Amino acid sequence: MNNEFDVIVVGSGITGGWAAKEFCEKGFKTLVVERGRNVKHRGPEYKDFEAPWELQNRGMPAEELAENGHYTTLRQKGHLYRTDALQFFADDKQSPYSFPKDKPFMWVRGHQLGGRSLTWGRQVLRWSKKDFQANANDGHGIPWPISYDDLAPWYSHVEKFIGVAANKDGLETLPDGEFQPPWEMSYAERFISDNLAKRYKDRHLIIGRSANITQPTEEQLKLGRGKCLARSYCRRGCSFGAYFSTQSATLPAAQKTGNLTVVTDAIVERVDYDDKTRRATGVSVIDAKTLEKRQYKGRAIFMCASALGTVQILLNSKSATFPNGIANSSGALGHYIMSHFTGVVASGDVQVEEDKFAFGRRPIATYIPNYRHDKLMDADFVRGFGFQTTAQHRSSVSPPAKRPGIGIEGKEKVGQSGPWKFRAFMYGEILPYFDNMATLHPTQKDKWGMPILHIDAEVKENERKMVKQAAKDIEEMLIAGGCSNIVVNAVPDSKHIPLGKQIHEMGGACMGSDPNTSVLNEWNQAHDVANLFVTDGACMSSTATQNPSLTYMAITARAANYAANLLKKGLM
Amino acid sequence: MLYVVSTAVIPFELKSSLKLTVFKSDASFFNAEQMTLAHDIADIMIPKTHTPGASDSHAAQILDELMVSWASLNTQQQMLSFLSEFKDRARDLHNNDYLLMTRERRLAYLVEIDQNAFEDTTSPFLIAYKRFKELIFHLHYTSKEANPEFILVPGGYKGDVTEDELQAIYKRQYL
Repeated sequence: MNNEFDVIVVGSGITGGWAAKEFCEKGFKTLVVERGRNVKHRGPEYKDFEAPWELQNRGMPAEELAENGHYTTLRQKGHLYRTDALQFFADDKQSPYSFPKDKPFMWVRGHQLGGRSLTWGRQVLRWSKKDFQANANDGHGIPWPISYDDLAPWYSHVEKFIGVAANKDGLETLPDGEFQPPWEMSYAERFISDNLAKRYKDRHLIIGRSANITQPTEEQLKLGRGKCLARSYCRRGCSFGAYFSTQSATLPAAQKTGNLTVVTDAIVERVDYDDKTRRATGVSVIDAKTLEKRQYKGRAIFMCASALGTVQILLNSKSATFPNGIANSSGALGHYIMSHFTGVVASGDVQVEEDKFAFGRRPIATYIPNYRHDKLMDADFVRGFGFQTTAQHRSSVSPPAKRPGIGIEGKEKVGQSGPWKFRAFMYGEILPYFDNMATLHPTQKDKWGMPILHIDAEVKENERKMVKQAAKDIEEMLIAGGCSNIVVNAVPDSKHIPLGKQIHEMGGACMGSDPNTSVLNEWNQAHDVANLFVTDGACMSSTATQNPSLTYMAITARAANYAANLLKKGLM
Repeated sequence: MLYVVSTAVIPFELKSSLKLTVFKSDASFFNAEQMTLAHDIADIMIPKTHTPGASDSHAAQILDELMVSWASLNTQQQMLSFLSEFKDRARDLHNNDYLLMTRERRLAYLVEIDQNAFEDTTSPFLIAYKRFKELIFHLHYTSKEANPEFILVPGGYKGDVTEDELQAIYKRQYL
């Protein structure tokens, strides 16, 4: 195989797939390097046509995995640790990382072609003008070098391709985009939404914006993608291609051009750098199966290996010019590690009068966008939080498996309809802290010889204050929404809030205008290395409160367009 | 997996009152007596009514298979110990072999254990009972028999339907 390419894309997840599609469609010979195995679309690893009784061990992973310390992080996540989706998550015993004992960090990864695009939450939310201005306004972190207006056309570009089912809500804090018909709210969710609208001007309960197709376009149909049929088995892989993933959308689009080469089981060890030309020359990889090393050459390198994965590779890319990691003259590489965090979970019974029900398994929740961009009178913190919420179905009496009760009496109640239960999970914006950081472990290496990543990050006083306010706010909103039996659980100050739990890790190679304080410029191009780009979560200078994948994709498409123009002009 | 079931070992005069399914052959993991016990406990926990019970969903037989494909050595040992002590306790408390007790007495014995299990969190036997119960319930309520209305491909989502509309959708098996 020819090992020279126009562009090398490291990673094949949400952003890697986008970089590959954009470059291939612009006529560039593109190599995608994926550390994990090949996973075929609609292949045997997809479990989306298995009924509950057909799942291996009825969904329960073999106990010896836990006993032998496998999948520690995923087991802590709970609901993802099942045999229908386990194949799409990395085992942290095989791919270890470390953290200070008192600051556990949850790093959930997907080491296969498609990465976490196979298992992502599919909530696609634009950032607002205020989100991009936040760092500059309150002085925390590195000011964003781009604005909402810079990204808006690229949001549209991405939304049209991936398919976003959403309602045009007309909110300044959550701009509308190119939408397909939205999923509908349940009777109870509509009830709460209407009640909140009567009480508040700034707090809204909306239907989530989902990357599940509800009205396929010609382009989507040509790629073999179909309408979502509300199975909500997305994390198992979707044979209909109804939710956006690398396998269902960007990879087939890139493959159609004839410009794409994909290598799997190839772990990028480092970005190679020429001290004389001051350019990245390619990547060095370790064969995951044989441990053999080889190199690929490229005119431009796009890092799309996930926020922390990219940071790990960049820190390990040492040279005479960059003894502390490539493109790290600022010393900012590995710093400002961030993640959404939750500290409040609340629920309540919705007091509706009519005896209504819901049918089907909607693949998206409802959402209360951040309403605290501007510091309000009652706030002793900066930034804000939103809530991921749901009352998709009526509750029903569960079997007494974990409480007293056997025999006919207990059995006859099982499945009886109960009230609609509304649940809300806070998603808070952590401030960008320089000392929340990731470094290479000084001694420990993984089985392929890569230094493991040590992640030292925590929430601080501002986030703790947010938790307290979020608890007050959600209780008030549940009352205003028409709920009873309200339960609000807030994490006390004494208890650690693990970052990474929402699988929204960001930062480590932040964008900024100043080369002395940031790693990337406004085009996601390394200040120090003109042909090196980072467009995954590592580039983020703040987290806002919205799920970040849509922004990653838009940033990637924008940066790829910029890099393509440089390549065409022979400037890279 | 097929099991040879026989009541031949039970005295004739007790057959009608026992309502017991006896396994004659060893299963994949449990021996015949353990299988008989496990099956009977499951059947009493989730009896057949107008809806299928644990016998219909073969919860105990599937548990036996999971002991091989899923369970760790600790869990295997825990289940074996539980069944053994379950039988011994019955003999100590009721001066009778559990399998020779009437269905009513077996139910009463199990109800007592069930109530104690959620009050005493230290007894290894009761902890094992809760584990067994949890597994049987999981296997039954994830079975085809217990989920006659399950639809793999709903076709869409409607969040505001009446019960009549809902039943009509279930009848046609698609939105």
